Order: sequence, then structure tokens, then C-alpha cells
Amino acid sequence: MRVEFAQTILEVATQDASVLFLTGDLGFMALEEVRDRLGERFINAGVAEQNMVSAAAGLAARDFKPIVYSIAPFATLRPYEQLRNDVCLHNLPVKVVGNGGGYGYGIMGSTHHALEDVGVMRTLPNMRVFVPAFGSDVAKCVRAMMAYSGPAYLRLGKSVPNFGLVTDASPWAPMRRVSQGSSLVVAAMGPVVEHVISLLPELPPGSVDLWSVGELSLSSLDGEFLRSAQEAGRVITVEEHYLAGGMAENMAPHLINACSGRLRFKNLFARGYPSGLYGSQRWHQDENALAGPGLLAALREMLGL
Amino acid sequence: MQKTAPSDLPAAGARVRKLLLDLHYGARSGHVGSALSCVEILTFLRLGCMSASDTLVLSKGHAASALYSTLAVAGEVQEDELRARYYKDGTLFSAHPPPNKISGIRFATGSLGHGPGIAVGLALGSKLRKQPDERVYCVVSDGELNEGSVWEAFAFSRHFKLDNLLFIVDRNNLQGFGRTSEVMDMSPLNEKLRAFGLAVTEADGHDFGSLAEAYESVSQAARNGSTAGIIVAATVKGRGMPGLADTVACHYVPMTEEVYGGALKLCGDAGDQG
Ligand SMILES: [Mg+2]
Repeated sequence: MRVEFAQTILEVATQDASVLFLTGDLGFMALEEVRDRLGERFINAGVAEQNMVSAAAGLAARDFKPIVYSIAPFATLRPYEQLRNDVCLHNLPVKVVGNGGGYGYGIMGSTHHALEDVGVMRTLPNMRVFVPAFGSDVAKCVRAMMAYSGPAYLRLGKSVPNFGLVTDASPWAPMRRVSQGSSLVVAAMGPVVEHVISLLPELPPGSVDLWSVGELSLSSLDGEFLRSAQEAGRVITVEEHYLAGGMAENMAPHLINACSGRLRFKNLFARGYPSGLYGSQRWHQDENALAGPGLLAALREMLGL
Repeated sequence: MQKTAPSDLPAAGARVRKLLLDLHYGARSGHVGSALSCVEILTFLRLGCMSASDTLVLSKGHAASALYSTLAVAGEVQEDELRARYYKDGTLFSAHPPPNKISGIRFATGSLGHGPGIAVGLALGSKLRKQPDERVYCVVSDGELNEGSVWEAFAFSRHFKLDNLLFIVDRNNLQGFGRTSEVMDMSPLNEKLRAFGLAVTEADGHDFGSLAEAYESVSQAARNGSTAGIIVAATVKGRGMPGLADTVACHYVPMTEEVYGGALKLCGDAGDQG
């Protein structure tokens, strides 16, 4: 999603002179044009994420809208307290952008993965968390994030096509229906929705009601989604994130209240490194049943097949 | 924002000292030593140096009572309200300063090592906005220099030529659980700061004349070197507290009547009134 992201940043920064771009020394082969076009508004803060975030808070106090960019774990976990105290307690418009959410950095290994970023960002006061699913979501997410008056986190991942299932013209929404069905509700956070879409032809037509979740926390769930969950009585969640603090935990209270006693709620999520081995993002997704045969088996089981 | 004349700063400092002693004694609260350590530094900056466009970041947020008291003497905080509400349930005047609530306090601090990063952001913001008159002051403790983020900010201030930024180290040689030389020896401190590219000078952190002299010379050196300035101000933690000055204990223990009475002696006329 870095290509879409860079393009949108250029547009946003051209329209609004208060937009600054801070990077923790990352962006090779992606942000050169942003650097060259933004001039002194592009600030390479060096490999020093704690200071970058505190400095962004100071800049925001001078009425700038700073974007701070790094690989997802370095953008969220290393400067966590700076985000909490300096940015969020003061409700300042600092926008954190983490590239490579989930297992996005694949064979780079566990230090570069972010399986808890959404959870920890969600706990911060005033923080909105955006997880675009499709390449076509990125521009909408960035614009929604920049329009918000407080702090936000944007988790960038692999850019996947929307197969024409979500129109590019539709406005940004935290939850969107991707395909309609009546037997099983599927909620997928971010780009892993692609794997569910790719398995739809292998499941009975009209059985899967698929939803893409692109923003947390979900202070409420979409009314259509809840009706569908009540009628189907079966919901499965798919997220490239630990269970703790992720989408499923976030949905659970709403589903309990709406579907008490009549719901099967199954959760597919990142379990870390079950085999202790490392590979590409897709390899990790397969190992955690977030794609491929494991995901298909879970969907079939929930459908009683 | 009217600056206080240099000749009037000692009296103003004594009023700040008296007020914070009253607050701590009334509340039976700790951190007295840390506050007494930076009374003259804060008085000098807020009343003697700052104009309305300047920003002060007290990175050693545990000295909040000294900052509240300085702001009260400056007329920015209501003194009677501070006296009535300090350290009580339902107050804005907590032991560390709160976010977005008190005029003169832009940032909540208390976790050490955050202020310098905020300060470099403020200073860079003024540069980007082409506001040469806006200056940023950041007061850090010497124990705080253990935090790596402080040195990240020092490097940043040098790289981005932030000559509109002045750090002051409250160098009382004590930190949470011992003397700085024993806990985490940062010496040779001045050489380290110089090696980071800062304009460094020393001062007696309880002497307004010495602070003013250091301020002039370091500001000049910072401008000449296109870098941030830093004053390493020699101070005494718990200054004036009988039997407790320059001890670890004055960070924690509330004052007895005897200690309170003894500490008031440094407040001159301001102490006599109360
Ligand atoms: Mg100290």
C-alpha cells in the first residue's frame, strides 16, 4: 500500500501546508518523491522513534499536522509511552503510520512483524485506528485520518484488489459488506479479506455474508451486520493480529448483547510462531489458518460442511 | 508578559520558595527536594527571560509544585486557588502537571525523558513557521539524563540547528535511589554534551546573577554555532531543608514542622510574612 499511501500524502500535503512528514529513516524506494516535493516539511528524524514521536507532539502544538512513519512495530511499540503521554493525553493531531502490519515483513522475521499494534493503539485515549483492506481504501483512510482532529494510527499492509466488490466511490466506513449471504457471517480485518474472497467460489453460493472491517475501535457494530449475525447465528472472525486487543475481542461485547445464547463465535487470529519457523507473509498466514486450506477448513466447519 | 527586573528576581524567587514550602507542608507531600532544587531556575526563566511567545517545558515533572508556584508569582495561576486545591482530590494541581488545563503548562510531564523531545518539536515548529522570536526552554533533571530519549533529542537539536532552544540541567547530583555518580555516572557530563554538538556552559543554579551570565553567553554561543544551548546548573537538592538538604530522603519524605520552619529561613522577607 506504500504506493497509494505516498500518492495520497503528496495530494494531502499539497492541499494543506500544515502537513509534515516525519520518518524514522525509512522510505527507500517509496518516499523519495514525498521527500523531494515536501522539502523542509519532510523531516528524517533518524533512527530514534521515541524522539520522533515527542517531537511530533511539539510540532502539533505549533499547529502542524505531523505524520510519523516507520515499520509498524517501530512506529507503535518503541515510542508507546511517547504516544500515550505526549500525543494522546493532549489529544494532538499526530498521525502514526506503520508499514507492514501483521506478518507483512515476512521473512524479515519476528522483530519486524506487528501482531499487537492494533490492540495497543486501541487502548490509547483519543486514538483512532485505521486498517485499510484494499489498495483503493488507502486514500480514503488517509483523508479520514487527516480530517480527524486527534491522533490516529494507520496500519498499512499488502495492497490487494477489491475485485469490484467494494466500489471505489463509496465513502470510508469502519465496516463494509463485501458479499451477501445468509448462513455464516465472516468479518475480516484489513487485507486478509482477500483470502476469504478467493475461497468464496469453493463454498455454497449465497452462504457467506462477508464484511470488511477497516477501523477500530468499533464503538458500535453496523446494524446490518448485527441483524445478519442474529439470523445466521454463526460469526467467524479473521485477523492478522493476536486475539488480545484485536477485532474479535472488540466485537464480542456487541455480539453478546445482540445475540445472547444463540451464537457460535469462532475466531481465527495470529498465534505468533506455532512451529517456531519463519517464512513469507503468506506462509505465516497459512500456518495460522488466515489463508489457504486452514482458512477453508474453518469456514466449511462453521457452515456444517 | 512583563519581565521581572534582574534586581527583583531574588525577592520573586523567595516568594516562589515560600509558596511551594507552604504547599508541601500543608499537603504533607513529597518531592520537596526536587522542587527546591529548581526554584531559582524556574523563576529566572519564567519571570526573568520569557516573553509571551516563549514556551517552557518542565521535563522533570515531579517538580510541578515549583512550576505552579512560579506561575502563581507570575500571576498566571491564581495563588489562592493553588493554595486551596494543591494535591487534593478533584484538583488540577496534581503532583505532576496535567495536560491541557493550566495556563503556562503546555504539556503534562512526569515520565522522565519526554520533555526534550517535545521541546525540539516546538523549536523546529517555530523554525518552520519562521518565528525567530519564539524560544523554547526545557528543564531536565540530572537523573533524567540516564534516559536515552534525552540524547536522541540532543542529537536532533544539533542536526536541525535549533538555536532557539535552551536546555537547563538541574544538576543536584542526586537521583531516585542514590547519588548520580553511584547510580549511573554520566561524567564527564559537559564533554558528553559538547560531543553531541550543544553549546554548553555552567552556572550556579541558585544564583540569579550566575544564571543570567550563563544565559547570555550560552545564547550567543548557540547562535554562533547554530545549535541548541544547555546550561548545566549546579544546585542543591532540598536546599535549605535542615538535615535533609543534599540527601536522597528529601525526594520522598514530607516536611516536619521543624524542617518546614528551617527551610523558610531561606525565604527572607517572604518567609517572615508567613
Ligand atoms: Mg537530580
